[in-house]
Amino acid sequence: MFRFLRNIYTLLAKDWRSEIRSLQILPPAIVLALAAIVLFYFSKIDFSHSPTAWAAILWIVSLLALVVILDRALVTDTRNAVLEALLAAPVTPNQFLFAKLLFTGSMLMGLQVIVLLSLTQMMNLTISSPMGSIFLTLTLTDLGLIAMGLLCSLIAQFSRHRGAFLAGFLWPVALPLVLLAMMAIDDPARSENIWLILAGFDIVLLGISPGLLKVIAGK
Amino acid sequence: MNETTYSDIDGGKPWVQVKNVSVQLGFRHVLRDISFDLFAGRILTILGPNAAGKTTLLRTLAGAIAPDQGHIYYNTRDFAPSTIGWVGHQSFLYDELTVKENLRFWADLQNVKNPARRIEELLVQMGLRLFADERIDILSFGMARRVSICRAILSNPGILLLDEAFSGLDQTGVGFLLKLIHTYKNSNAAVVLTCHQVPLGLGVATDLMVLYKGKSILSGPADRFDLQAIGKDYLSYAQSQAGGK
Repeated sequence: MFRFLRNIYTLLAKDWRSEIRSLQILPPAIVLALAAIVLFYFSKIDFSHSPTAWAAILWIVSLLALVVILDRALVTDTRNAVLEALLAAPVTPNQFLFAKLLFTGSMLMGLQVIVLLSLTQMMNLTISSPMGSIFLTLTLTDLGLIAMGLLCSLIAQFSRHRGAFLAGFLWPVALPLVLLAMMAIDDPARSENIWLILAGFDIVLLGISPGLLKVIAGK
Repeated sequence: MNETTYSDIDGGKPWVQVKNVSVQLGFRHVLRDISFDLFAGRILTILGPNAAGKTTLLRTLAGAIAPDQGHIYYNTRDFAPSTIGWVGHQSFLYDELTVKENLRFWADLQNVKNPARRIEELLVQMGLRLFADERIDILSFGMARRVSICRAILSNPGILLLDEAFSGLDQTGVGFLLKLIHTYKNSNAAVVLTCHQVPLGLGVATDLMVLYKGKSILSGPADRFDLQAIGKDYLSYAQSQAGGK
């Protein structure tokens, strides 16, 4: 267990160090998110008539940012065939995926916090749902999106049409998840059932991901 | 080579046994029915033209590709990933990180004891001391190749796979690598190397294999063959031997 956690820490630390050096994921994702918020700000949405419109804005921005994050998240690992050597030895697909989940997940959640803060500050938005339930919904949805997105991103790395592949495959599968998340935020009475569905989806995806990763990266 | 103990190796049995291995990539049969034994203290040189399957064979030995048919047996009681060091066509290094950071990353993953000392030792040995804090993407191909070699031997692996490891190295680099191969041989480790510089490959070989279109057409201890004829044209020699059987 100690070895497992230590390897994840080593991979995660490498990802952050690499990102801090190259700044190829965070700045474009933040700029994209802020640009979307500024556009919504000038559209003068009246949140008093549509109390959960903020959630729609949050997920639109999240999905756009997700593609930017995932598009680049595996670039450094597939360049110079590092991933092949990592998976041959000494890293298991589980360790690699967990580290990547933490790396991309922390980025996406950080971005979502920035979006929420910007929305409340710029648009005088009052969020009525309890913060705990919002963050649980975000976490469960992000987990599924990223687990699935990482696999799409990995396939995309090895395909000739990287950008088209990632967006084309990710969004149709991501939309049902996001709609569930919207429903959980919109109707707190049903949120517990939706969390269960989201958690089930996450468990299935996380269960099959290591095997798929080995297959995709293997040849 | 002072950290690895080879006491878990059964001296009489081969270190690696490759049995009827076939690999298909996409629709192409890249390796067909490859079998050989690799003993401790031996150096297997694999020769072959481009697209013969040399790299795929090394990737399979490294565990990056699972054979579609056949098996690879590693004769160690506790086969661990650190038992194999692999220098591939590509560097297996992160461009954004420095030489030292890359080596530290791999050393941590491979659980190398006293990594700082080991890295320092290798940097000096491979003539990389002055480049320790340089990013990989600004190094020349040859220097990056030297870092790759350091990466592969960080944990003193028992099996060393060198895929075209001489390519891009200058005379000093080739000297380092030849010395390293001999050190490994003397330490009872096993080395498998592919190269297009035939004299270099033959110079260190204790065993030889010629691959052609995914098949092994010549295989055995080097002293069994006419090395001069192989040096002139290994493919013709191997084909004549195969035809003569």
